[in-house]
Amino acid sequence: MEIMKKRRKGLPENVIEIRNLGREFRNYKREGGFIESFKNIFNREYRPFIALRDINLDVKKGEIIGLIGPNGAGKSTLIKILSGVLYPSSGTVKVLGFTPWKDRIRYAKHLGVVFGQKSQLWYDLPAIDSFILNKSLYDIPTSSYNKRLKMMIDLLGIKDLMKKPVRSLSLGERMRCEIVQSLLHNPELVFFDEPTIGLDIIAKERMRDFIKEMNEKYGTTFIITTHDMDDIEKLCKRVVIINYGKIIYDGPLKDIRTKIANRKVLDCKFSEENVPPFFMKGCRTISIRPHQRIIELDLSKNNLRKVLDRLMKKYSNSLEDLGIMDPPIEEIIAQIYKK
Amino acid sequence: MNRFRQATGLINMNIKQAITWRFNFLTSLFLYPITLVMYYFLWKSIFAYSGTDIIKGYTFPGMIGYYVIQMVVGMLVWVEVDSHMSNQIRKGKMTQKLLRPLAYLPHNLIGAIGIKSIEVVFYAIPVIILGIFFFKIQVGISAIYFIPIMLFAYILNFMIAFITGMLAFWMTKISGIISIRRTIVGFLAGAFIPLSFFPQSFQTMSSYLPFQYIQYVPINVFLGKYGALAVGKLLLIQAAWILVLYGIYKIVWKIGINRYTGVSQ
Repeated sequence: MEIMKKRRKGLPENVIEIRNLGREFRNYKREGGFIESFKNIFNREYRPFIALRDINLDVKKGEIIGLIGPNGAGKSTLIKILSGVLYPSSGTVKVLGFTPWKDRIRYAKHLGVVFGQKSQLWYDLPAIDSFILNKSLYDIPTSSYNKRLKMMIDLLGIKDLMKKPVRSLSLGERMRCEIVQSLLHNPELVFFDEPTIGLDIIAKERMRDFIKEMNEKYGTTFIITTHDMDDIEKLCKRVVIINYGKIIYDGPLKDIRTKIANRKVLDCKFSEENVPPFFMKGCRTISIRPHQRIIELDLSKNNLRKVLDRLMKKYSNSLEDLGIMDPPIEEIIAQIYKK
Repeated sequence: MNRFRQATGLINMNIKQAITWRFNFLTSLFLYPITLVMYYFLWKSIFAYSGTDIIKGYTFPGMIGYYVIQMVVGMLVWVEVDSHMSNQIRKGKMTQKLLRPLAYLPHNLIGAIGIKSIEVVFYAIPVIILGIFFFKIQVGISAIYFIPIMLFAYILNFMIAFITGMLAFWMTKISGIISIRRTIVGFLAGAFIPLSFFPQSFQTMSSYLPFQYIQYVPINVFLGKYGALAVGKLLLIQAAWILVLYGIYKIVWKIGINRYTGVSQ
């Protein structure tokens, strides 16, 4: 399905171009103990911490990219540099033709950021006041402000919520208002940092539908940082994996599963507490518990159908439940890193 | 980018915010008259004890007049930007302010002016009216000069507090430094005792520093101690100090912001 995008004058094809980006922090070396703390007042030792090393990345207009990696991998540092809040130690970054930290004030008008854990709304006032403030801060013309606000109110259902003080809203309600606030000025590029954290299933679905809608209608480019694999699977065609400050994978999501994580996980539940062990080519029992076995199947060595057949036959009397799952993404990432 | 619209938007927002804190706002209303009463009795006994009508050029009513105006000026010039900044840097909340299409300092300054305008209407004007009718202070036409002098004095105090606030880029907790700032600047600004009570050498030193232009000078402008030409000169000196502090801010900000990592420290 070809997505119809409105051609905007003067915008480069690559929304983001990063070359050889590096960022180092100086961390203070601290031993424990009282004497050490005291010594630290006068004499501090620094240890350099490399948060990002040699990052190269291109993002095209209209992409929805998932940025994943363990905590401390460098995702937030990368997003902050792309937002213009942090300077790099080395390398170049061009976003929408701007250098984020140098052109921050002009660039901010084209960028929207939504934090799952930090609120950008004014806490004691209703969200509508924060929207009105953004209208003047971002210089949004009244007609497009009204049109866009109405559209987002309808899509996210915040008509009554936005008149209540933000502090009285639940997390899901507040997140919906946060999104409106960050996207009112129709930015070309949006960063979502853990957008669905703490939300219930329905709220998550709504959020994902909204992102897809914005992407299709306005060609908005999204970079989503998340630990939620459903977010990734439902939204992102391309995934960038960061670990220890380096990009260790950059490519289509489906390739991760098919090329690299060619496994299935079988969660078997039994009526008996102890069952005889299961041996078959390509199968490895990874967990043993009363009434349960978890078996990992390497699809390159055997086929799912044959394994299921054998399992059913062998445990025909005791097998009560069988779950077939893909291995958790953390495991896949760990695998990718080891390669 | 329409700067004027940004500014009015911010001011409106801050006014709305200030109004929601109604309780806080009403209780402070009582704080000022109590302090005033205390100074009233203090100076009444000082004058009675010394047995003269005039001390260092002030009569007793004149002295009380000084304190009423000092209270108003002190409240108008009060800034909290250094503690806000320290809080935001420590908690990593500065990030969201930096995502807005305006520079951090103007963002804070305009917001603070928004809240200040509420205080002008609800505190300053009632206290001045009270002072005129109850304490019988003399207010001349020179009170008009008060407005630009007060505005510059506020900006000057703001700049000093902002520069203090930037120390939070390097130190984890600057509440001690903020207290020092408030006390020393207040002291040198004439907040506790009129500067004319201090030895001449002290007053000379003070004239080379920006602090007296924050409170002492505005108080005396209000009390009509300067003519038009002198006021013009004072405005120029205030403006010069603001420019100097602006230069310091620009240099320190560049270094400081690079240290800001946006996580709670």
